[in-house]
Amino acid sequence: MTILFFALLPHKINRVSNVIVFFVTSIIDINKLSLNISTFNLIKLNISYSNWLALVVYRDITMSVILLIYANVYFTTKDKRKRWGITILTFLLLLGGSQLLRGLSMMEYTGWTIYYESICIGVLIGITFLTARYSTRCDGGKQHG
Amino acid sequence: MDNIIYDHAFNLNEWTVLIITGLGFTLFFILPKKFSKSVTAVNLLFGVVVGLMFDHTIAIKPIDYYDVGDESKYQLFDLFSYIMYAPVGYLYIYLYEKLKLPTKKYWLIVYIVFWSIVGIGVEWLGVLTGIFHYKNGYKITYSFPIYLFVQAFQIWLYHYLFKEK
Repeated sequence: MTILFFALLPHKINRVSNVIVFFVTSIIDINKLSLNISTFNLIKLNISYSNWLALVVYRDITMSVILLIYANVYFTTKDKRKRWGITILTFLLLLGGSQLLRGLSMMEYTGWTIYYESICIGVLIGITFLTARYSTRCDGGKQHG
Repeated sequence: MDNIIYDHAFNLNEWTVLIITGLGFTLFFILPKKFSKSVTAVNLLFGVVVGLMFDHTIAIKPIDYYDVGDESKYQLFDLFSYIMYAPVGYLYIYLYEKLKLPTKKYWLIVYIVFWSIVGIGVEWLGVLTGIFHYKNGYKITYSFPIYLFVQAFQIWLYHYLFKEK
């Protein structure tokens, strides 16, 4: 669904910026989850093959594509209401997604809270914004410097 | 969560990561700049993202084919160790352009196979020095098709983003 929404966006930022944003958000998503699960034991996973697959798809595709949609909508409109709207919608979708995984018993918080999750999502949206802004202003995907 | 501890000290595996990272970035900085900022950023990030994605997909439970570093737990040094992949992805595309391989289609196959063999060699060094610890029947030969796929994909992505106009 998120990929479909992304594909159907009428205006997009350039390909290179999309790839850079995807890479940066993936690095942060993966590390955030691994540090919480493995290093600090703040989240416990319910280990089964179906849960593992759902978690990997959510972490590597759903979250990153939601952030890509945010970057593409934000940087292709000048309407302030739309910009605020997509920022709030992205925040709610990411928070809702993480709580859905929790609600479906795929993960359980053992020290992590919705408050921490909200802060992390806010930071992630901020990093997506900065990465997209820098990469769209950088050199627009030229091959040579 | 069951945690396997392989060692506690700052020893060969950490030094290997630091030496490979140091050598890679030294080459990155001393080689003449050939690419724009965006080409450089994509190719530096590519290796890091792919390494993270594979390690945090097939090296976590329930599959759990290998551990990275001193413990099966994800440690802060493991986070740093992924920077090691950044200059490798850059040098791979740098040499690809330097050798003018975009115009020599058949040599591309040799190039990808060569880098996959290099990848296996470095992974074997990683096993010897304690960077990687295989589990649940994983063998080094299983990594070969992964290298072939990842390196072919990087060439495709490079063409898709920067050559296709």
